[in-house]
Amino acid sequence: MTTCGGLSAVIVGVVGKSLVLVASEDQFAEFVAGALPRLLRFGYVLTGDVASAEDLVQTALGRSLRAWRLRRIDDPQAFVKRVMVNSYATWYRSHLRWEVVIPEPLNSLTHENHAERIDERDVVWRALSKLPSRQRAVIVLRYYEDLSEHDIADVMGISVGTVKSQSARALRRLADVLAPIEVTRRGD
Amino acid sequence: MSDLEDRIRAALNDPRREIPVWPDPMPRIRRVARRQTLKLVLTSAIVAVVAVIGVAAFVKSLPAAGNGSPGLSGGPSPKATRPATSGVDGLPAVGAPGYPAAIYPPAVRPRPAGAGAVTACPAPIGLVRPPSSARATAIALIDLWETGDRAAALRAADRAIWPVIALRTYRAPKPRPTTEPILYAGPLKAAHRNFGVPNPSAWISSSCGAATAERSYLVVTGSQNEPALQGDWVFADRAGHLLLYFRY
Repeated sequence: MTTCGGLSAVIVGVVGKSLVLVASEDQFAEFVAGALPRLLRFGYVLTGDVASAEDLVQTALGRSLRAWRLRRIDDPQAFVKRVMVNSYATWYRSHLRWEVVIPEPLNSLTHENHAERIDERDVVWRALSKLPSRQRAVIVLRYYEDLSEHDIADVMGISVGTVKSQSARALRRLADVLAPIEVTRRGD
Repeated sequence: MSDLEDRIRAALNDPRREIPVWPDPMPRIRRVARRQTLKLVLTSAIVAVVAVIGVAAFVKSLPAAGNGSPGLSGGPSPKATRPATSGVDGLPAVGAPGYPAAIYPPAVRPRPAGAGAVTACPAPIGLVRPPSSARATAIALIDLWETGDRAAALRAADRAIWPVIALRTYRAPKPRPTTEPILYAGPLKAAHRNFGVPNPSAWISSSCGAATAERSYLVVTGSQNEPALQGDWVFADRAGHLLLYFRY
């Protein structure tokens, strides 16, 4: 057993002159136990839907486990998030969403007054759910993960220019969606 | 825009939006990983099977190596027939639209006694003695060979000579037919040659059988004084369709 890149790894063999390091599945389980809340939350902000988020996380973790069995992954959390973002961008692109379900926050059920539940954050959340998957992914990586445009381009496998254009379109669209709501509220 | 960005950050980091963590995630993840592996294996297997079938079909469509006449059947018997050239060089397969199998059956391999003089023979099935009016039709078919396009040449020929047509280059049709004189037009067996020019009747008989030779029609073109430049065109009549099948 040796330590490499913050992860303990098992030397399983020698190929040519290089050591083959493969982390054990127990270590993957440890990683999942620690990272799961954050991954589920990331899936939720990415998809905007609890069931889709759980599907996305388990799909990404399944792929990551298969990759984990074959080779060492230096930054497993980044790896899983990358798989999630790309799965989301491709999967949701190929599935027409006939009905957009905009869920209430799980914790909001404790509020008795309906008007109190519809606060500013819910309005923006609903507006985010109307974005195309790619634009939403860019917004989530930018404002939830606080990644730079360069890092977003790296995660999504697209150019920095595409990140900029997708981001600008998304913000413009959000501004368009939120503007009438603001007017209505001021009118009230 | 910064106000909008702040609102987006607040919405995305809304602490009320949390998902309950799975109590024991690993069995679930292992199950998903197994399903993904199975899907990958099945997809790979299907792709491999499709690829093997495609390669096998391609190899099957290639001419058989080692014999002079690609894809011919084993002998002049009509039972032992196989597509002579189907799928090769874009030639129509047996039974392809416009080429009924009754008129364009697969060619057959010539008998060894022919010693290579004829590379393929017309299937004996459906062959009849050409009528007396065959002369005009045969001359028209020769003109078609010289001036027509590839499709027209295929329709005017038996599959025995299709490989030759496949090798010919058909450009724009020539403006006028051949003006070579017709030296002979009649039954193959009745033709007599002088000046030492080989008589194709003997070749056809030994290669394709006496019955086929009996039912063949010969047209000889060229100059009487230049036997080496004369052309022999041998036809067979199958169900009323005169078809060129040998040219020398």
